[in-house]
Amino acid sequence: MLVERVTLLNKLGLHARPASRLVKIAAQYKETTVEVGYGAEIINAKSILGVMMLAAGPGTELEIRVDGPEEKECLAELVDLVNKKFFEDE
Amino acid sequence: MARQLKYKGQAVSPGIASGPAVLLRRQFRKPECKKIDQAKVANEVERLYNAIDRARTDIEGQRERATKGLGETVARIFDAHLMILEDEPTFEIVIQQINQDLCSAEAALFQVFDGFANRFEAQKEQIFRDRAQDVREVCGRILGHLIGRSTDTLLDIDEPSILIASELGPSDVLQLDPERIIGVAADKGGATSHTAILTRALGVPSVVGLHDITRQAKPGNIVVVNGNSGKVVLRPTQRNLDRYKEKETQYRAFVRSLRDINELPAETKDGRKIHLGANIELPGEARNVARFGGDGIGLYRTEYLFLAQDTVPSEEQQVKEYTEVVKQLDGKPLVIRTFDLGGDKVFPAAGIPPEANPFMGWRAIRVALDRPEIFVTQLRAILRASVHGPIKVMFPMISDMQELKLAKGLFEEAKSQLRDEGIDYDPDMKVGIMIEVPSTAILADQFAKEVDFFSIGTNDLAQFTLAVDRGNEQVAHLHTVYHPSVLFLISWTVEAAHHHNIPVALCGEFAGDPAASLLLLGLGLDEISMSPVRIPEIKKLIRSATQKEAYEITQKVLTSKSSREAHDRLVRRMKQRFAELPIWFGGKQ
Repeated sequence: MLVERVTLLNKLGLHARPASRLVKIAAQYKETTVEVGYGAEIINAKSILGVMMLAAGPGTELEIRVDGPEEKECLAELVDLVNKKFFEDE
Repeated sequence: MARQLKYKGQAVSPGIASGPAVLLRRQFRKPECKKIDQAKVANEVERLYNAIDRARTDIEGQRERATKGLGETVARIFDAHLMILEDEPTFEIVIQQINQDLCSAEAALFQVFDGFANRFEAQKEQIFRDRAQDVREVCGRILGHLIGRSTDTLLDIDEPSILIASELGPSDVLQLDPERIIGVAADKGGATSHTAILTRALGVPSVVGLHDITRQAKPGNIVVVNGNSGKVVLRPTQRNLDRYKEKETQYRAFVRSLRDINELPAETKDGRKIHLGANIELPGEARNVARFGGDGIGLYRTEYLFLAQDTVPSEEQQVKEYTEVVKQLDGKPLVIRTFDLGGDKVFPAAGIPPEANPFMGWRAIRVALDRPEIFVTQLRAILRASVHGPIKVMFPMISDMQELKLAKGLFEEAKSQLRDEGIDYDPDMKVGIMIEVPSTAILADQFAKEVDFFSIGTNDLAQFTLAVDRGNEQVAHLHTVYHPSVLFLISWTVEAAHHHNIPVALCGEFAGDPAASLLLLGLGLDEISMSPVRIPEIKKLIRSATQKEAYEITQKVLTSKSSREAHDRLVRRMKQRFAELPIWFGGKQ
C-alpha cells in the first residue's frame, strides 16, 4: 500500500467538479483500492458522494491511500491532479 | 370549503392566470421496511439496478431537452445527477443494507440516501450544502421507478393548472410545459432565483415570496396568479373568480390580437421610432426576440452562466453560448453585459464572500477589475463571438471614470491578445456602460465623450438615489423609479448622451411597465429593453400614441413633487387615454 499527503491548492477545494475528476481517475483502476480523506475520515475514492461528503476545503492536507496492482500509476495520477489544481481553468 | 386567502408576493414573470392547483411533489415519504425472504435478495438487487437504469434514461432525456430549450449551461446541472447514478460504492452500501436487514430495495435506498442528504445539509459551506438537493432528487427519481410512480407529476396533468411549490429547481422548471402549467406561485425565491429566471424564460406568469402558500393550498384548489401585480388569490370567491376570469380572457384575446403588429416597428403616429429590445438571461430565450417582435437584445445578462456551475466558465464555453445567442438574431443587434456578480448574486468560483451591504459592495465591474483573468476571458469570448453577428459590449456599475479607463484598457488587451493569436473578431465593436450609479448619471456629460452608448439601469439607479435597499422587506416599498429625482437623472442622462450624439437605452423592468411607456418615449430614449413577453403590449401603446402627447405627459410627470404624485398623474392619464385596451396600468409605485 502507498500513502501520500497532498495539499488542496485550488480555489474551492473538493467541490463537485474537482471531486468528479478525482473519482473518474480512481474508478479507472478497477483492481486497485483507492481511499482519500483527512483527519479521522477516510473514504472510498470511487464514490462521488463520499468524496464530496469530506467537504475538504482549500488548504486541506488530503491523504491518498492506494493498494493494488497499479497502485504506483494511480497514486502518481491523483497527486498530479491535485497539484495541478484539478485543471480547473480548462 | 376553506375560505379565500389573498397573498401579495413579488411578481417575477408577467401575465395573469387562474386554474386548479397542482402541488409539486418533490420527495417521497420514507418507504416502509417490508421484510423479504433471503431468497428474494437477488431479486431486489435486480429491481434496484433496473430502476437506476431507468432513472439514467430520464435524466439523459431531460438533459437533452434542456440543451435544446435553454442551452448547455442549464443542461450541465444534470451532470451532477448522472455522476451520482454512477456511484457504485454507494449502491454497494445499499445492497449490503438489503442483505443485512432483509428489507426492500426502496427502504434500503431511502435509508442510505437520506443519510447522505442529511449529512450534506449539516455542512458549513453552502456549495456542499447544496448537494443535498441533488441527492434527494436522484433518490426520489430512483424510488419513483421502484414504486412504479413517476416523480414527474408535472408531466401528467390533464387541464391547465397553477403550480404551487416551495421553490423550483432547474429540473422542475424543465418539466414545465407552458401549455399545461399556466402559472407558478412559490413560497420562496427572489427576482434572481431559479424560479424567477426560468419562468421568465418560458413566459409563464409567476409570483414568488409567498411564504406559506404550499401549506395552505390543497390540490385542485383554484388559484389566481397575477404576475403583473404580485397578487395571488387562493380559493377566490365565485365573484372574484368571475372577475379574474373575465380579465384573463380579455387579456389573452388582446395579447393574441397583438400578433398583427409583430413585424411592424414601434413607431408613433407622428413618425417617432423607438427600439424595443429584449432582456434575456439564457441563450434559449433569444428566439423570443422574433416571436414577440423585438428589435434585438438590449441586455443579455451573463451572470447565469457563472451561477449555474461552481467554476468559472471557460472561454470556449462562453464563445459557444454567445455565438448561440447572436446567431438566433438574424443580424439584429445584441448587447452583452459583462458579468454583474456579487450583490445579491453570490459567485462561489470567484471567492466572493457574503457582505453586510452587498449591493454597495464588491460586485460587477469592481469584481471584474480585481479579477482581470476572469474578465479578460469573458471579453475575449465576446469578441470571438462577434464574427457571427453584431455584438456590443457593456460594463455594469461604473461609478468613476477611472473604472471605465481600466475596463477599456482590459478590453484593448483582450483585442491585442486575439490579434497576436490570429483570431478573428469585430475590430469596431461598440463599447457602452450602464448608468445605474448616481455619480455616473450626474457626470453623464463626461462619460458620453468616452463611450459609444449608454444604457440606464433603473433598479439600481433608484436604489442608490433613494438609499433604499430593495432586498430589504421593511423598506422595499420606498423603491420606485417614479421618484422625481430618479426621473430627473434619467432625463439628464438622455440629454447628455444626445448632446454628444450617442444613443441611450433604458433596460430594467421599468421599460416593460405599460404605464411608463409614453413617459420613456417623452424622455427621449432611443431604446427600451424589457422582458420579451412585454414587447407586444408596449409596441401597441407606442403605435397608438404620438410623440407630441408623450412629451406633454412627460413634462407634467417631471414636475411632480413626489413619487406618488408622479405615479398617480401618469397612471390616471394612461388609464383615460387607453381605456379601450385591457392593459394593467397599476404599475409599481
